Amino acid sequence: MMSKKTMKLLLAGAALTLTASAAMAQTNLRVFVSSQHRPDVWRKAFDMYEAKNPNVKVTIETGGNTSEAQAQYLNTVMTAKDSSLDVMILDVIRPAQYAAAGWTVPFNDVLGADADSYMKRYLPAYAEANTVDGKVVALPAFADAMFLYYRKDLLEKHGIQPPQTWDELAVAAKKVTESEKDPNLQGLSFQGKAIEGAVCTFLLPYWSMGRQLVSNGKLSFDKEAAVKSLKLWKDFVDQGVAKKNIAEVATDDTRKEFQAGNVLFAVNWSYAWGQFQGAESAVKDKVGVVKLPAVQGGQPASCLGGWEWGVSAYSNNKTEAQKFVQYLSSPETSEFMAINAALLPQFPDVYTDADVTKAVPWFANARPVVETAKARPVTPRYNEVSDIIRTTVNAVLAGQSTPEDGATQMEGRLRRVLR
Amino acid sequence: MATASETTLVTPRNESGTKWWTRFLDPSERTLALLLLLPAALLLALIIVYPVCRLVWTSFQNLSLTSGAPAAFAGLENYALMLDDPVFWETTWNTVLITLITVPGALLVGLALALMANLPFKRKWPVRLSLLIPWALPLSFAGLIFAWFFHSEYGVVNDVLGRLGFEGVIWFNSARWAFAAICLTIIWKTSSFMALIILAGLQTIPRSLYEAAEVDGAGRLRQFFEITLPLLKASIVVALIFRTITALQTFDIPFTMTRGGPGTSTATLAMYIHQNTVDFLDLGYGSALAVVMFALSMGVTAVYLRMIRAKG
Amino acid sequence: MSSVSFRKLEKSYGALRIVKGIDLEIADREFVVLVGPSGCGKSTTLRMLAGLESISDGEIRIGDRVVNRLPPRERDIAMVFQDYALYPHKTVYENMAFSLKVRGVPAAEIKPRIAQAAEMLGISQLLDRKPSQLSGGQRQRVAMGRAIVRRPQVFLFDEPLSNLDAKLRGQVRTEIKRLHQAIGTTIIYVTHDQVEAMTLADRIVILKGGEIEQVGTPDEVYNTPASVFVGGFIGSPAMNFAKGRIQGGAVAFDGGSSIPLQSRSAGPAGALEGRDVIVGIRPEHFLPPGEGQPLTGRVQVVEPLGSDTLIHFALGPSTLTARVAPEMRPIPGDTLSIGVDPTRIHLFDAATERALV
Repeated sequence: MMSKKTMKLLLAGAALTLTASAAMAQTNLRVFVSSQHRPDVWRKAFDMYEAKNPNVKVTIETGGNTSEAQAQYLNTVMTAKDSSLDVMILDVIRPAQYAAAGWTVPFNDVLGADADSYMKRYLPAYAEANTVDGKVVALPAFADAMFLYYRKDLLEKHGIQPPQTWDELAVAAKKVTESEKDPNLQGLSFQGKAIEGAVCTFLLPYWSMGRQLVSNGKLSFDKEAAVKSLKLWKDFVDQGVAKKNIAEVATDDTRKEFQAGNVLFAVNWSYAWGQFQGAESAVKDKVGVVKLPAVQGGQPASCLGGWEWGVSAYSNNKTEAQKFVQYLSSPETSEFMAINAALLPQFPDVYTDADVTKAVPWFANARPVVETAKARPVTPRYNEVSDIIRTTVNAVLAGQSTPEDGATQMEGRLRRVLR
Repeated sequence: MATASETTLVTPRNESGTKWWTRFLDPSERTLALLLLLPAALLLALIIVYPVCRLVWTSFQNLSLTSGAPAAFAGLENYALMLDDPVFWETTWNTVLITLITVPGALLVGLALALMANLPFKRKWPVRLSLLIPWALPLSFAGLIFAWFFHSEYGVVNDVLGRLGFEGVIWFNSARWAFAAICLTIIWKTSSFMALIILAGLQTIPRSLYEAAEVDGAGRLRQFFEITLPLLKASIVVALIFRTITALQTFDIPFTMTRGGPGTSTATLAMYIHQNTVDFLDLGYGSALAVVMFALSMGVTAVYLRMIRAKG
Repeated sequence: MSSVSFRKLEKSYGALRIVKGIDLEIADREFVVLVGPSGCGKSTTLRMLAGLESISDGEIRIGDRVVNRLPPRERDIAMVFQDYALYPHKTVYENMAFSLKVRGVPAAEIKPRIAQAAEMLGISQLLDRKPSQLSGGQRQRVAMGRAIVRRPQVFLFDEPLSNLDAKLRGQVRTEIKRLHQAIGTTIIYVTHDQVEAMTLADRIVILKGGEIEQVGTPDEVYNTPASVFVGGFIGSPAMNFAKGRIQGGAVAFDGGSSIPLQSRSAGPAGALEGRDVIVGIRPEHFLPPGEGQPLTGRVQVVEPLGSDTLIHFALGPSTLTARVAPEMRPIPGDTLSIGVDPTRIHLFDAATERALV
């Protein structure tokens, strides 16, 4: 622990010399980018910034391949008060937690009085997700939501329309899989593994029933809706619509299996679209994408995704970093990333941009989905909430507990956390 | 035989009436002893005592980084929370169960491996090397490798089961099977460590003892139970101490294989501590859990040490 | 109790022959010592008899039974090991009781047998101790006790005294001898120490390079050694050797001195005329000046021992050692004139190194 102090001194010394020289020469910005979100294309966007700002040099750091792994890494860096990272991309569920922990620098100083109008340019959900107690804690990088992907070719072959409700989906899946007689073909793939995606799995039908999990920071758990939601997914497994080991399936497994042509319907984020159209895809040009089904008599609901740029509170280049993030969160960059990386724009207008609609025509349909997508509960203790939900979903899908027991346990554990 | 008593070399202990520690009361020697111990004591204090004290202190605090609130003294609140935290009980129970299954399991397998490795092979190094490999492999690697072995669709275990005419098992879809897979992996991974320690013990047993037993009329089995096993007792206890403590801290293998699933049915106390501190950033509660694990390890060590001492 | 016989006994490890066709008959109740330098095959022979080493060829019998293929436990032998091989985790009592327990001797019988053996060896008060609490001599006795309680047909001792200090060695040696006198069981005893062999044995078997050099009573091997090797191995200080040639009924040494041959050692002198020989003279067989045949040489070193004096002197190219009366103290450098008993000199063929009879 003595060594830690010495280290700090050394680091502080190093930082001093760095900032001193930076005034004359250049600023080095180190940026954490999630590896699943096309760091190669982001690199191009960074290059354009470097070209315009010759005194800034940007280095990319990636690590982990899931939102959880990345959060674990960043948590470690931030708890260590490590100054090596200046900018980091954060899953939409995290800016609130990072702000509460004091790990990010608010943008209010640079935005000044314009903060409100600045944030109003974004889709409302993102303005909300990045504002905590009136402070702008991060700026949106791109939007996302969950969609229903389906095999256009198979539905057309059997004369079926994309389903509007989960029941319709089950009927359609059974019909197609029974007549196709392909033992490898699954009716529906979704996320049953105890990962962040399983939180959305639970919330989709729950929200579709018009229920909220947290209202005004208080738990508003509806046990009946929770049981129905868990039962909906478990029934898919029991009826053979989803495969038996769905409790092992993570987001990218769903993507891979669909891409290999083994899945009729898949619940997934927007990133899957680009991959399905890729050269290695077995389902290129055979994929349709629509909004997710609703429960009988309910409203369709999607899970709001998307990632945000935050500036580390331990950065030695906060001002330069914030300037850089403003560039990254601009409509221009958004358009560039939409066209080149198929990342959904955080600005409503970019969806209808001519170049964008030309490059990714389906974005036109995606906008209403993103606009109506619901945000996962905003609470500093989100990680615990998430863990409770996903382990319960996982246990129910694995047959370890019944939907009723699962919902009871979930409620009990949520009450402890949100007490 | 009159000479017998003359050649008796063992004299009753403490005959002189002085206690062994009186030597240390000599001031100059005592000072010297303290001086010699000082660097080691300081180092220990720095790397063990300080962190442990810090841990215990944190466990009495309300310190959650996500709350944004500064640390506050909370007394036994974290411990009280623990008592009605079902996940704490479940993970503790899982940890104890893993310990109870994998420690004797690894001991038996390790003993068998050590006996095999001790056979008079012409070339000893291939045997020794194959013993070392599982031990040298990082735990998380072992976890990842076995996660693939047990994968319900692409895993070799189900493939073999299928070829033998059995139905494959969705290992990680059931608490019981997942637990079994984890225990098998831990036993595979840790038995070579047991084997290495036991092998070292085996090699200290003189060959002539077996020859004497052979002449005395003892068969192989009898030799094993009357000579090998009793003489291995010390090595076995050492191996058990190490293994039990690492078993109580089991993290890597279930973390990489199941992440504690399905649900939390294969999560261990160490994983729960990690989750609370690294994921939930609740350092107070995480520290309280760690204190419990620390106490558990200390308790087990104390029991073993008493066992050794009782054996003289 | 039983006799033991080796017939053309062979042991080889691959191409390496360790024991080369040993033939030996050991009578019931006999105390036989196998002696020789390390590597002579004595321990291997004993271990083959014990069943701890396989037999490459030939035959071993204990009594009337061929035991070649029998495991040690069925040979009805008991063995005392060089390192004693006491079971460290068992008490003295348990050590002694082990073989009886294994063989299913009833507990009621075990106790008196151990008590009796312990009494005989004077270790009755040690029965509750662990081997680590015993001295070397005590361990040695326990090892013997463990062998005795079995009441086997044959006792085997494998260098049992080599881990003891000189003083204890003498003591335990006497005990072993007395033990044999008391129980009378056949004993086969391996050692590299000729003193143990001489003091203990009824018969000594001297081994060299896997072959028997000579078998005989201690007196026989001392008085009529069959070869230069036996002559040099038995007796302390060792026998002197000097090269010479038989000329005119006398042995002429390379240095010029000569000793006339007389009946006992030479046989028909005529048959040996002109032969190169090695002459063996034991240090104790020199006589005071003026007695026997005179021999002269230059004194090199004088070692007074109190009871005797050892004089090392040069005879031609050889150095001889004489053990003489303590009063005799020549000065190094002086010319020594000393007597030799011509009846006690040994003649060996210079080429074969075998005794000339």
